[in-house]
Amino acid sequence: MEFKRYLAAPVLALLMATSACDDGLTEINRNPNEPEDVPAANLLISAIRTTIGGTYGTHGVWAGLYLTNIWSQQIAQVAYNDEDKYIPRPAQVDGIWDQMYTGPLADYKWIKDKAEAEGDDNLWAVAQIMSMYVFHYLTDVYGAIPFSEALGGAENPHPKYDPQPEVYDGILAGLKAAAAKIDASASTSSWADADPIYGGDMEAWRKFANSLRLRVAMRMSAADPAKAREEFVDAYNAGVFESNDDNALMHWGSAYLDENPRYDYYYNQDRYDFAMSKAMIDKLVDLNDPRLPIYADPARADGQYRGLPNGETPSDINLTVNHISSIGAYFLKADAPSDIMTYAEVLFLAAEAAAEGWIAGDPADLYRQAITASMKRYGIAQADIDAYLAQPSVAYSRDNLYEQKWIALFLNGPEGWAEQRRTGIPVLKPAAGDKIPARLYYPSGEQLYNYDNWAAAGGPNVTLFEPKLWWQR
Amino acid sequence: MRRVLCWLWGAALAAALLVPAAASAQQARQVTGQVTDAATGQPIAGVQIVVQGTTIGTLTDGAGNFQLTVPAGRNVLVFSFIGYRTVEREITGDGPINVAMEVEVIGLEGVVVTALGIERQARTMGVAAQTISGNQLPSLEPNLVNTLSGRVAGVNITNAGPQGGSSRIVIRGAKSITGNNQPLIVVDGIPVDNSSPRLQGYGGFDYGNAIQDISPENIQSITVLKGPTAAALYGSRASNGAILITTKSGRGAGQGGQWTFSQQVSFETPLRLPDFQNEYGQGYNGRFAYVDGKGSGVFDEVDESWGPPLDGRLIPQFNSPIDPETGERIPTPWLPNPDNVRNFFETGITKTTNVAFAVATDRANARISGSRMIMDGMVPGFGLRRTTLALNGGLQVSDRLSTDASVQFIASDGNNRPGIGYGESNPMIQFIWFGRQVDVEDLKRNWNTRRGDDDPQAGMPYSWNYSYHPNPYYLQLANRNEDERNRIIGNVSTTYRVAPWLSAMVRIGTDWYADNRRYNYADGLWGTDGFDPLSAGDAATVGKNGAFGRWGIDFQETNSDFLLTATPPVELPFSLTATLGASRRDVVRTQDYLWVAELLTPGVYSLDNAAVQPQASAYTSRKRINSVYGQVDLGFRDYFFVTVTGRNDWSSTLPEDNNSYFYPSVSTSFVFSDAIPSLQNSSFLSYGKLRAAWARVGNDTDPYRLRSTFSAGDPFLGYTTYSVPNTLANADLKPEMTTSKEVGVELGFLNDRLGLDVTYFDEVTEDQIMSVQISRATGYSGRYVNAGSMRNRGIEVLLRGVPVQTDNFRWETSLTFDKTKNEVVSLAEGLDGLQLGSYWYARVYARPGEPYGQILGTTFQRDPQGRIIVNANGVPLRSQEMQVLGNYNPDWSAGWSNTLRYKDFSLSFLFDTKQGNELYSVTHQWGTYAGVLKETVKGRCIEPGWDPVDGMPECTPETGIVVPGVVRVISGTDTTYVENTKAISAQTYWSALGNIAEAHIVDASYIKLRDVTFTWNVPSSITSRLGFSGMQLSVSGRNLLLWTDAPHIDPETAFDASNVQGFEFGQLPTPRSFGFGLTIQP
Repeated sequence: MEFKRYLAAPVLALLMATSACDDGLTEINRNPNEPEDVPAANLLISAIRTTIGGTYGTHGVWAGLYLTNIWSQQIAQVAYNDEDKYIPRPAQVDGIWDQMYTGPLADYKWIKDKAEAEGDDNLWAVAQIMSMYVFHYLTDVYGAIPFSEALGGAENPHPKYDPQPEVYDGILAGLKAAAAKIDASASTSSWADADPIYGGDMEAWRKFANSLRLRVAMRMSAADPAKAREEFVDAYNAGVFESNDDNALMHWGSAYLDENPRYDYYYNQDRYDFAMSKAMIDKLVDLNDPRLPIYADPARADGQYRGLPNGETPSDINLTVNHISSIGAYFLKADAPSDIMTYAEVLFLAAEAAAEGWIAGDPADLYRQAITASMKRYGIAQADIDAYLAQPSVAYSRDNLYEQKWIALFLNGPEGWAEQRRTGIPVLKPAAGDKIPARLYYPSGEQLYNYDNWAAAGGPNVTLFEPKLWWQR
Repeated sequence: MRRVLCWLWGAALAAALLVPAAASAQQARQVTGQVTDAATGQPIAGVQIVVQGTTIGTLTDGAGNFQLTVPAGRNVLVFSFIGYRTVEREITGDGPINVAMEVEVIGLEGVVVTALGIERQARTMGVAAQTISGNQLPSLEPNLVNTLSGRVAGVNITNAGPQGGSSRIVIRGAKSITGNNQPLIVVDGIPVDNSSPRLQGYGGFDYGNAIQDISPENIQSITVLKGPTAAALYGSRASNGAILITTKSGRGAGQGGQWTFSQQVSFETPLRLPDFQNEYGQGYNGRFAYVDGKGSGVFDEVDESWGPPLDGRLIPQFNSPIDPETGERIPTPWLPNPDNVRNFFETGITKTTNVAFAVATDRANARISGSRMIMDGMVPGFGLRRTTLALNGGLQVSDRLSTDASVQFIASDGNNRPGIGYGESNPMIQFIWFGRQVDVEDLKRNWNTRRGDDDPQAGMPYSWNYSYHPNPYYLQLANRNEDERNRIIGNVSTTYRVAPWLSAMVRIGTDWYADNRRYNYADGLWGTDGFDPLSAGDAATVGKNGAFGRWGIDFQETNSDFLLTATPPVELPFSLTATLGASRRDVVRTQDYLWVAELLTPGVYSLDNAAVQPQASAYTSRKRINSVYGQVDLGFRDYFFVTVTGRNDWSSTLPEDNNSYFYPSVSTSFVFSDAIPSLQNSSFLSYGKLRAAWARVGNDTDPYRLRSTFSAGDPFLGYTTYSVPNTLANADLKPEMTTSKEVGVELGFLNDRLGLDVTYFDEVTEDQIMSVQISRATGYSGRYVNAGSMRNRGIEVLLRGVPVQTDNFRWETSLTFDKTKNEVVSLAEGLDGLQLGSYWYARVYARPGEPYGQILGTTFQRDPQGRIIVNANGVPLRSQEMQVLGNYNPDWSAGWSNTLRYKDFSLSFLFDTKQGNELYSVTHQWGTYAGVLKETVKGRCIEPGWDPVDGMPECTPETGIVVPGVVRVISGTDTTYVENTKAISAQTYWSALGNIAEAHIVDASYIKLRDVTFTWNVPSSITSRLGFSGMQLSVSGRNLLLWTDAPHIDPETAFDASNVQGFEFGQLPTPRSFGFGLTIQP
């Protein structure tokens, strides 16, 4: 029969090839490209990169250089200087918040869950310390932030904002809990290489957790002196940085994609949008600071050290970019480390605590040790340090302590800006208007997707200048 | 439900095997005859003849003859052919049946190709459909989608601008908030891919939409099924409507066969370029002097034109000679180059050659064709090539068995496509940030030379600026990007007539292509933006010695259908057709990416020459949908028809518990002019039909949205990096649903000299599957949900007529109009807006209660009276929050096409228009910021504190710009507003406006003279002397004239083919074509 010859074969083929009762449908929809579970180490290294890249440099040039470093007037924008004129572009405002919550904070939470399941307390502690570091950065930029209800995914799509004092309490408790969990004798080998800060050295992490508590406690010293003192002393006695060897530094690599994002921005992308600020150059020149040739390169046009007034472009002052000092080559190397927290900062904190009578010790001595520690990092000779310290303009005083700390925090934008806001030192000339920004307003996404909580936290009334953060004087 | 449908599906297949036995032969008779053109008396080949109420039919051969077996109990034959009025003829007596067919005046009746390739009489259709015959398509348009502009009511086409670029087509408004809104494209019954694989972002290249591979020369007709009703049988993807393309076959070509040769040549020039100013050159504050183009001179690093007046003064420039003694440049005259941008563009040339041979016998037909298009673009170095080989054949194996096949092989490739969007490889971006004095001829002459040893930029490619801009010719010619796509679209179908009333069909079709894209970045472009396919369109940094990227796409979609069609013998006056089918659709897409950021040796783009670790990734996605479906067509007295359809899909992309979904439709048609006796012979109202339809269409989603996975980021310190995904998967997704209602009326007046077709539709899509943004504080930026609903209501009008007809002259005209009201009814709970796209100071949103595609942006600060607030210096201030500035969808659109014929000559032309949409023009934003556009000339002055410049006045209210606005004065708690009197320079003014989106929103309404074609059908008295049987000469133009209020640009611009529209990003000029065509039938 004709039918059989011509039609039966294709019909049967189709019958075999297709079946509505096809249980393979679910299998087809299993993603063949991406794993559903991965080793914690691969998340940890990524999260730390984004934490520090996002703070400092493109993974985070924007957040680190555009805002905090500029508003603390350590550097200035040479071109397209909206941020320097206190008109931050929307993407930059949104960037810090969005990047930190969806990036490292979500990653650290996942790592902690996995570490808990696998019984790896040290890994848990590292992720905890880093997430507290990020929350502290965020609350000092935005004030009240989602903390206790944050990172809940679909279970809590509208997290409430915790007032800043409660966020501080949470961070301090979180750091303490992390330090307590550390077991330096337990192996970290499964992820040690993925720790570009301490390489899995848990003693170092414990000191960092305690040192970070000093920073957090001191920040609230005016707002809640009693609690600040209690936390500070507790952390100080628990063991903090003891030398520059303890510094919490992000170690970048020199190979492609391993580089410091600042290098990537300057050399790979050939963007020279930033240069030294007038505030920083003038201060270093005035004080005959031996860090000047390290912090800055002389202007290409005439070999002078010349900073750019924040808020101006070179053309505004009838100069060219070649007349402005660039950021020093030291900081633009591919593998130049990024400061997270240094021994010098710990000494400055101790000096201030000693001056407050919280801890024993001579504030002036600790202050000089702090400057010495900062300079030693850059290989400055002891004789030059001594000469510097001998100058009356560098003699110990509370204001000079803050000023020296601002100098020492060069290119640690978030901390430089926070401390300037806390202490008011150095006195900076606002780049526009009559105030330097006190904070950042909330990202547009919060108004759109978390309106009630955003409004309850005062979101509609937040500007760059008002209201001031809880700890700000 | 699932079980039942499973069973049904199996039953359908079983029926195919069992039914033949039941068929019994009946008394039948043989009928013969001939079909001719009523006007000319010439035989017509390829006319379809069907026994009414059955699927039995045949076609006329080359001599117009036919032969057909008619079963007992049937005695009416229906003759139909595209372009002619359908004729019904009763079989009386035994003699031959000769029919003279009249040219169809206005197309109310005729054959329509509907879902699954089923041809139906237009009168039986309960839904809106519009058919365009292949010979009505404009000859100079290489992109098939664009050919429909202005020709089909309710179809909104947005052309992306660059030659070879993609076009977006939306029928009856966007239905999906975040998903695909473009219709399904079907070629010869088989769905084909029309995606525009391109990475989103600020730059990249536009490879066009995939369907532009189809050569318009091979198209017999295009039918647009506008609503989901019409396409219910195609399933989900047709919820946006469907465009059915029928390719030419050999049907009716005659036994001797027929050759056709055609050749076309066209020339393309820019339709519109921005209006540049030619009075001031590069620089800042009126000053400029070149030393190294990187900041060592006076503002020689800037890429703006706020420099000195172009009055011939002597200034050191990038191309001034260097004094060998001092090593400095010798100043040369500072002069305008008014045509520097126009001169960059070359006259494009497009050559298209086609050869076709068609042949038909009474049992078989075949057509083979080859076509080759060679396009040299307007942008230097840019070219496209396309070769199409097509074979279409049909064979009547026996009275019962027939088989058809069509296959097209298409090879298309592109060379040096210009970049699009806000990237360095887009030449227009180069000219927005530009020194107006720059002589591009000089750049062209020296594009491949390097700066000499006496130059501060020794060794670098010759350019006018070294801070931001390489020579645009170097970018275009030294950076070689190349792409090739090889594609096969084909299908084979076999139909077996089991019984006179029952046929079974099996069809397997596939669409496969491999697309290879290569991006080679030359040396000396250190720091420029490369297009790294891996980083999802973000600019990647090109290394000193160059870089390269590769992007390979392999796509295959296979559709298999099995279809039973029954026309059971029912008692007249009823007729009945039932269709039952099953199908499987498989889609596999594989993409491979490679990026090497730095090379060891310039110019060798290979992995062996990588200076850094190459980055690579591969991605495969698969999807399957199994379906069963059915359709029943009921007719009564040939004037009342009802069609009911039902379909069930099982999609791999949905969770097992929700992956089966059923959707029905019902439509009805009532030809009241035949039903109501008093109208039957009315010459005023010659045709009248009412139609109504209702449908639901379910839809699935993209693969892999049910379970969260980790995607790898850039490697770091030897580790593959992973991060928690930003979008939360959802294991509980369910299908989304579109419900559509439409009613329509078709009227023919004055013996069908005038026809009107009006449709009203109302469509709602609910439970949309989309990724909604959530507070980032949750740790995620979005999650997949079923939420949101969007509604489109609108009216479509098609008015056709023949205002004048004499023996020698005939004027046909056709007017289309459509107006769609779109509303985003709701989004996910608690979501006030969904951002579709965001660039610079503007955003595109879907917001509840508002139409889709709202453009929001920053605005001027205004006082309570609405006056612009300026600061104490007179500079306008920007408000913090974004406000609605417009919408990218037109309020209405229309097209008016005309054909005038006089003897052997015909002239046709088409105007089309869109009205009431807005556009955020980045050309205007940065072109004014950079001082290159005409409006920036006014107010060029030197502000106090700046160095004076010869020939430029100090700023005063007369010489500068006094912004009409007010200054806010706060004293205590009182705020007052005082009129502004401060004058600022144009530079300060436009730089302040740079971040105020409101200043750059333009009205995108336009009217275009889209096509003009003048054709001469050379009379046989001449062709016979030349030895040809037919010859045609034509002159045509496309995109000839534009009327718009939008400054500087052609407002018909698509950002790409996605839902993010309403942005204009340094648009490449639309080509204006003039061409000549010659067609010969030997």
